[in-house]
Amino acid sequence: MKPEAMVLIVSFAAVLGACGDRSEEAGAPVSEPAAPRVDSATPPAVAEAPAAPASEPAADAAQTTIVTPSAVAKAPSEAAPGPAAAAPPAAPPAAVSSAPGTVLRAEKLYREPASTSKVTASVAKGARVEILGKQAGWLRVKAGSQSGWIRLLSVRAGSGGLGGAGVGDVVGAATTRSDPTRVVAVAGLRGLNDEDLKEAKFNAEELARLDALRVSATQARTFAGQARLAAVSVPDLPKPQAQQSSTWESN
Amino acid sequence: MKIKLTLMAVALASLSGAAVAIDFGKMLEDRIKEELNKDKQTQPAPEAAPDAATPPQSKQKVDLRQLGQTLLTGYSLEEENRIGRQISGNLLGAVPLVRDNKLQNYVNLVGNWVALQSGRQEVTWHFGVLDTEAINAFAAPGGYIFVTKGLYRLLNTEAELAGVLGHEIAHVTQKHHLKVLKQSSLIGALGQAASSKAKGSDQVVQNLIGNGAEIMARGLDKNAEHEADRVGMVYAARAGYDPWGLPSVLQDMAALPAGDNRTSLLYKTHPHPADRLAALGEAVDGRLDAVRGKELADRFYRIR
Repeated sequence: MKPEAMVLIVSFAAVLGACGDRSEEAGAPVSEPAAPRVDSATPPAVAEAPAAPASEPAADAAQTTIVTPSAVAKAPSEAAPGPAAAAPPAAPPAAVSSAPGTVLRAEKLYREPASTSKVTASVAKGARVEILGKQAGWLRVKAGSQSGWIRLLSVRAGSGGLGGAGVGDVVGAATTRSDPTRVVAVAGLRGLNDEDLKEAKFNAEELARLDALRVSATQARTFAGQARLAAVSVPDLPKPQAQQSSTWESN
Repeated sequence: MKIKLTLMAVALASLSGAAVAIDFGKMLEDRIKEELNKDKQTQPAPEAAPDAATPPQSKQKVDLRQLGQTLLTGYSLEEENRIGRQISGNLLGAVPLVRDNKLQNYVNLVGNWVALQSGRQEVTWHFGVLDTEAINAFAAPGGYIFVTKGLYRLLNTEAELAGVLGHEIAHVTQKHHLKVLKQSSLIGALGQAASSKAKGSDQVVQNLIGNGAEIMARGLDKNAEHEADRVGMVYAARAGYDPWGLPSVLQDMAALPAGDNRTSLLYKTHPHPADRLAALGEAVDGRLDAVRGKELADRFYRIR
């Protein structure tokens, strides 16, 4: 496992250890299953569903109702001929280094961190996983008895389940109100809230300091070259259908 | 201001058919690059590239590139800079820069390199790390970008920093804040009372943006945030970085407990990281599978 992956996992573990159940108390999303604790919670049903799409409707339902959504459907036989045994040789180290996560959309697990590798299983939207490692755009996860690689963007880390719209707002407003002293979680260190911003007075001295820190395009190119960074052609990403909106300006 | 509006009217009239045919709603959606190209087509003689130093009297000429920008957002580049300076000066009044020049220089170098991929060469980019443990980042018009120390502490690699800065750079290139401000003002409302070179507070701009830096606390529409995620991720990839920096940071944020005070303002003004990951996942899917970029964990500057 790459060192970065370890760092990530360790930081996840630290966060979990430090914060315990606070997220649940602080108004976790309604989609949060009533499952006990994340690490012990997920012996998900391993469905023998023949095809991945079959798990789709159930997954959608899981978004709005409080059920344990963890369902790992075995991939179609052409994709995974062997009866699972999908775990890549690099088995995770002891159980310590894992963090909870939730699958954000119906997805496949792959044997390797590449979409060209064998599909070992399918996971439904809302399924709970344990995150075991990370490599570029891929996470190695355990979903029930299955493990494999899943796209980084198809999973969210943390114990908040599918999370979801409005949750952040509610939490944000609640914490601001309940914390008039604006002391952040790290004791003694100052936060920044909307009152601070509203009452802010123009600081010409700091702005001059910011100006003085400016660098030129030439300096930036030299800096890039020192690490052999070179400009690459990458096409724009499409606006997803779900996000299709030409009216946000009218907000 | 009267003069300016008159000139604009004249310019619109002289563009005749072409100008009348412009669909205003569609124009708002167009990238600035497309706007500039359009201007080039309608005006064979290229104007000097506008920059921050353009003296106010240049507005007495009809600068079609400026006009294109003004039509797009309601603000000229000069005005954009003035707005950005005022917001930034106020923001820095709320929270100062971290007193670590190596850190600030490093962030400016990474930021400028990413911004070079954005196609807005006329912008003078400023980057700063704010001395607060709150986890957040801000962008103001004119190319002013801020990351908090609390957010910086979450980062592990230069690619992650590039992804975060890419998101903020995208707010500037997509003119998200200017589009919001446009709704509360008339085109050209700033007039020529002061220039962006002014050192002090700019009362005309202040009237436009409300109290202090509260515009930074109001946030943008969630679709603007999702767009900035998509565009920012691509900027970082174009700069040669591993494209998964921004998603990795979003993962780390998603793993923070919901009640963490450091994220209270962030979650007031941004969709939840889980929603951002899901939306980004829809857009990216397998499209960046072939991109191989650098993470540069070794070069990443660590505070303390």
